Amino acid sequence: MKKTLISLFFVTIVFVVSSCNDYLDKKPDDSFALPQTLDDLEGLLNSSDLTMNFATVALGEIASDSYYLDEAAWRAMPNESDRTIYTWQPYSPELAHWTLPYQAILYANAVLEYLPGIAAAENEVHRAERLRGSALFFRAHQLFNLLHVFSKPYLPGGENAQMGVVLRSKASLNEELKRSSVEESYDFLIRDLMEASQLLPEASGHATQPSKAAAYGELARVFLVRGDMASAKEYADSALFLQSDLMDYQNEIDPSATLPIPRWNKEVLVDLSLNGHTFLNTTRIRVPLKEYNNYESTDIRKQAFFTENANGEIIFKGNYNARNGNRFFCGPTTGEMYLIRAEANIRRNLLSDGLKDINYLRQHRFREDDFVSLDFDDKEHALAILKAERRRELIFRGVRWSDIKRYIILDETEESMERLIDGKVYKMTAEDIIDYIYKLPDAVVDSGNLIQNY
Amino acid sequence: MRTFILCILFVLPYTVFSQEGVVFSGTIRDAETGIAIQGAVVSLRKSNISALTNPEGRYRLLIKRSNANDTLSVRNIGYEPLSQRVSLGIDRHFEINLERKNTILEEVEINTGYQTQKRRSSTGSVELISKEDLDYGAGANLLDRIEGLFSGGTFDRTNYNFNGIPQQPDLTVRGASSLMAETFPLIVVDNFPFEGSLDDINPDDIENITILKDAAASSIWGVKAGNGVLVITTKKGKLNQPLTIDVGTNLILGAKPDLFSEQIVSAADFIEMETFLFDKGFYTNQINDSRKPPLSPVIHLLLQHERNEIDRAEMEKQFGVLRNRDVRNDFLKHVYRNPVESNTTFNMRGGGDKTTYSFTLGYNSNLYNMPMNARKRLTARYNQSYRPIDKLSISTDLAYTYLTTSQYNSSNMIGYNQMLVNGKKLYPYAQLHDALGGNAILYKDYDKSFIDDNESKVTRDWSFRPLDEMNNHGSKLQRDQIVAGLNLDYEFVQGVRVSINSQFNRAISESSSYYEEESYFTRNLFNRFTYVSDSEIEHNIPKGGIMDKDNTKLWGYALRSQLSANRMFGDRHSFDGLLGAEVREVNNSGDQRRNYGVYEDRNIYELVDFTATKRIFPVLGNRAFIPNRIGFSRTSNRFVSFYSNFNYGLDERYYLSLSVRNDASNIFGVDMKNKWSPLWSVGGAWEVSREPFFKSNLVDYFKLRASFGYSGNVDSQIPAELVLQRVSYLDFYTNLPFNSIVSLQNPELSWEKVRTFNVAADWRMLNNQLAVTIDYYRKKSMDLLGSAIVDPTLGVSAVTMNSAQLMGQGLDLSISANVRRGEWGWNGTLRAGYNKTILDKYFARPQTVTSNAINAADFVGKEHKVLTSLKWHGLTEDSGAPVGYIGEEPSTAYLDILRNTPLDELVYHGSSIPRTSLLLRNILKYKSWEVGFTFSGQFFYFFRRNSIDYGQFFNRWEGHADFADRWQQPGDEKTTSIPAFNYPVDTNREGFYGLSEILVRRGDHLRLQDIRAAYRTAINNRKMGARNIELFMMASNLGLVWTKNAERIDPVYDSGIGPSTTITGGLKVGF
Repeated sequence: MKKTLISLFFVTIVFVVSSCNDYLDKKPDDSFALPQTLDDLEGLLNSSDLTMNFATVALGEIASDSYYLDEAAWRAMPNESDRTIYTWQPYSPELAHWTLPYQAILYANAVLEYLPGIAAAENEVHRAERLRGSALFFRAHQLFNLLHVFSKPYLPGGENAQMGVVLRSKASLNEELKRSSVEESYDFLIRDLMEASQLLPEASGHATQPSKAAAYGELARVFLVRGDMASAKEYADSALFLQSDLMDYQNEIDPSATLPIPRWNKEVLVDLSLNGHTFLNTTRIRVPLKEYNNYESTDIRKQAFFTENANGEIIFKGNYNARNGNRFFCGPTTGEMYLIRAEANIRRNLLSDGLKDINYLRQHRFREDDFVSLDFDDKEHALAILKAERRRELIFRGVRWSDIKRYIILDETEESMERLIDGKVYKMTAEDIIDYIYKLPDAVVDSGNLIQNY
Repeated sequence: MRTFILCILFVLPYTVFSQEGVVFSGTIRDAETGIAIQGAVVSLRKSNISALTNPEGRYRLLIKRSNANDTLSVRNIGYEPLSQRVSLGIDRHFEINLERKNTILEEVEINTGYQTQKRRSSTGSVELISKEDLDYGAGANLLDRIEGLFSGGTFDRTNYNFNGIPQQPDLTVRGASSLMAETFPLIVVDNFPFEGSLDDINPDDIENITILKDAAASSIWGVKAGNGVLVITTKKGKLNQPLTIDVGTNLILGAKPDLFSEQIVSAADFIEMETFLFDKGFYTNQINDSRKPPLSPVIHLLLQHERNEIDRAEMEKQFGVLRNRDVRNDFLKHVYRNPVESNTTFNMRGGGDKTTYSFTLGYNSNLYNMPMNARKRLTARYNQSYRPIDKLSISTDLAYTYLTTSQYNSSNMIGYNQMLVNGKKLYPYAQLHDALGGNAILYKDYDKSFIDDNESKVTRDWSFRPLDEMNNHGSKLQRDQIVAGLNLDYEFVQGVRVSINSQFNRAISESSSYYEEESYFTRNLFNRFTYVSDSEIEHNIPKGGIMDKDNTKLWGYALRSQLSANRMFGDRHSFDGLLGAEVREVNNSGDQRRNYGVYEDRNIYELVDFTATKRIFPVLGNRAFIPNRIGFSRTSNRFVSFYSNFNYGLDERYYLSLSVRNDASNIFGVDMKNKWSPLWSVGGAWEVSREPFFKSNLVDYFKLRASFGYSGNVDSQIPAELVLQRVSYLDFYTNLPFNSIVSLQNPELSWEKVRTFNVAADWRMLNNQLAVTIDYYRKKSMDLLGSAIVDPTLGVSAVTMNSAQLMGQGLDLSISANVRRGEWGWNGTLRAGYNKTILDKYFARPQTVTSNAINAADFVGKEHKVLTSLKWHGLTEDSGAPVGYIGEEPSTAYLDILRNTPLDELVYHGSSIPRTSLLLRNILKYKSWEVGFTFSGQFFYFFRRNSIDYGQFFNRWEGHADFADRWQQPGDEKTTSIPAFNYPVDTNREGFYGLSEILVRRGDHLRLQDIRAAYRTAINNRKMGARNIELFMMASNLGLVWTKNAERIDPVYDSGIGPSTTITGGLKVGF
């Protein structure tokens, strides 16, 4: 007995000592994982709803003229900052407008950082490439949209040394955070997108994951904003080469439905959305008659995108992700690609090529009996047709704010915007629009070293 | 030889002297338990004879030549000596009950969970809650029974929710020692940490509780001990103890919740607010929203009036009706009931030469104030030990708990403040019962117009009638918990032993929420997933009910090997030491799922397609996924420890203790060397009253002690690497599995450490009638995990790192008085603690004020959880707007005040956690009667009282009664500090007022906790078999007797409704 017990005592001690290391390697939570497999990383990119696909900053749309708030709705908004930025006053926007895009960038960077450490099996090499391409795409997409609202616009041929955004390329806490110039920012994101376009497959497998066509589409958008029409056309072309389908609204859409446009439809290159946070919400915003009247009465989009409420106000319902609320579709579509190609062609004086794309798009937006082919008088007229069509096709798609700026910069048009609140008219001239950028949210400046805009 | 003498002693009187003289006989029993006492010395002084009691407690004295008067005295170790004048002359029978000696004796053994030691030799700060203290109360909840019974503990009941099944209160010992990790003390039951729910412990199983507070006492528990340790020892039998049985039962009746204690706006004020906002167009969006969110009845009336459907007089008439309503009356009448709790417990214990046993059975039934909410608990515990040979002891502990609860489904709650209208608080003029006597409809998800327009298109009734939901099936939980322990103890050399302790535990909970076909939840979901067009109707959810199942499982084991020695060396040196190793593992797993088309009594379900979106009711949107609720989880915590503890005593008056321990756990992604955490402590004690020079008639016992050392705290769920987590649900948009990032790389992550220095004095005076203990301690909690604010550009806004440090110091005072004068007795208990904890370091905090910073209350150099506010100047004369300060200047630039007030211009009031918690209990005894009452109080702290926030009022319908006293016209600013109505709401103005100095109050308060009357007597009736009987009545939660704040706001329950008064009646019988 004595011996048994004493030896039992020592056996336990020895057992405890010897097995310690393995024993303590047990994962404390089964759902935890170090990023060690492609599945782990793909899981990050699949965080669509919370992080990757609904993070795009909506401040551009908020500043633009595609909507208005009636005075009561404006007063009823809970946040002082939302009310103030509606009148384009300098004020710190809600922090989420900044954190969410940078959270998406963190996720993308985590994928980029850990991917090289994972030895992909032979049959998974393409998958690893796709993940890298996706991460690059998401990072570039967020930066591109942040640039529109927190930095002065890109001036073709200029130096573009104005303050851009923070270009992060690591997932670690130790990275130095500073704002790069607009030029550097564009270089960075174009490099990302170029690489992504080479890595991404032609079919990504899911509408929320970017494909090669999506990367080309995003590049076409970037070069359009930079005024590089040759490249814009080239990339729109490339995107359309891979994916060119348009929905035939007459047969494929029920305009009377609550949300007539199905999500993940064949026009979507990749499904991305603006996050309107506490501000931009389909229940709050109203569509100005000017926009509404921009559609011919036979345009199916007029019924499909809008509805009238009891007060005769126009409500938007044409979201390309079939959602109500504060998430507005902003991904590239085939429709947008036709319009980018058209604009690039028109600006490069290939006017009839341009009109051909516009008419091709419009053919899918009208009933067969109602469709009338548009014709142009001169370049200016063609450009006017293009701009009107862009507004009709791409309303609430997150492109309006950069469009206005581009028109002012390239065409020196006298664009202006007005908002009426409290009996007071707030007005922005073309010059104001070019100058107007948001402050970084105060909390960002308070807790770091970034330079505030003004 | 001894036996022979004993025989003679017992036999002689009967045989030889029985015919001559007088016989004195009787039984000596324990006054408390009625258990017979063997071996007590009974003597008659003048007659100079004495006898020992036999195993049945009986004595017999024969007096040959009697004196007229004599003094009968009874003595036994551990009991108060008793002497009584008796007149002799005829045969007498004396039944004598002995009172136990005051329990705060140095002979008392304290159990640290690793060893028992004499209190005399302890160098640490240890408190004991005895069975008597535990038995004063009656409820089934352990923490309720020990609240206030040890100094230095702060109970926080602000999380009390009158609707649900009551939550355990929060408890900290000697102030917080962590910011993010656990602050609740470690609970140890029979040698090992208790895993699982405290609800599963039956307080009637418990013999006593030892509280270990300083490093010397608690460092034996290493990294789990930073928050203090409560060591629970369950009832055990004793060797050679005759079978004793205790039975107790009690019934606790409660009042309905005092809904009217909530400070809310009246219906009249509410209607005034709605009318005003309606005129401003505040509701226009909601009215026009195509999804038809619900509008209140007042808005409907205003709309009807606007559309000329009713005239102003009619509208006013209707308003008049609504103004007189208060929905709380309906709730009290139709929903709430009087809660009833009953407890029954049975204990049987005893022992022979080689075995001991104790068996306890407890049954608790709780009917809470919501009609469906109930709990039943059955606990059984069997402890036994066996000594096959003298030096070996084998003991087993078995505990089983079966617990069932039923309550309303979480998606179908009907309690007051649970029933929300579109996410807002219920309007005060709602009614649950309509004029016709039927159950009223409440439009909470959709507007009346929506229901009227669409109900005919779908196949299920779409209306929500709260009272109809009361009889639904609800959610049921059942849990089985079993804990089994096996302990071996072998003394292989005298005083040196090897022991092996092991424990295995397993708890399985199954809960199911059934939403029957007729429930609103099911009807609503069914209708939502009904697609309707002119030509077709498509049901995407099957008929029948919906069943949600949640299963959780906890299992673990612990194994400990220990070598201990306890010896005297010579006359002067005593040595007590132990050395051991331990492994422990705890696992938790869970899975959940939902089935559709379920008929509960027929095992029927139908498959639905979760993978693709389904068409939904056209007005509500386009397509959606059917909710699935599938999820799995599993966590494991493993611990390995080596420990040692030594206590050396010299001359039974100088003591020295040393403890060293090394712990490791499976923190994720940490290097092996950082997984370990060595901790140690030293302590010394000096029993001054044993010194030859110590001579005092006043002081009977005096001891000084001091200790210093480290304990720790760990949260192994916080990893040190970039770690992903597979989120337990699928992406809402794509239904694909996805990961989130839970932590970024943080290689410096380490254990939290708590360093404690403690000095104390224990003394007893006035013939041991008064016992006092005072402890002074300083506590430094280092390397605390804190949320360090970082630049949000990093993708996260805060990072968890070892970034904080707390410095605490305080006093614990414990006074016990035990006075007996003849048939009168008085027991007084005072337990009080004072703790002040400073946040010494906190990494990367913002330098300017934000409302978040004020709410988080983490100001370096100030008290932990310091209550701060913004300076207050008053209300403006012309508009009743609140005025603060920018620098020295009064200002209404609220945004500036909220953002730019320098930290040193804030008003620092002091701790928002009570620095002092106090309990004062007095028990007066007369013969068999006793009356007790308990006061409890919390002192030296501040709270922010609630007031009106117009943003909350308009948007969430949460209006404070202060609204009635608001500024309304110039001049009011002299009498009120409640700001005027403002629209549009300036959120900065509301934010400023909410954080202003004017709302801060002292939280100090004193409560009458209970009044208790008991009748207790020992009975020796052989027919009945009863040994003792106790009957008691008690009233609890008797409310505040004093508050420092003049408005008499209850600082604990200001934002809710507090527990209501209960009356308890109980009976305890011992056999």
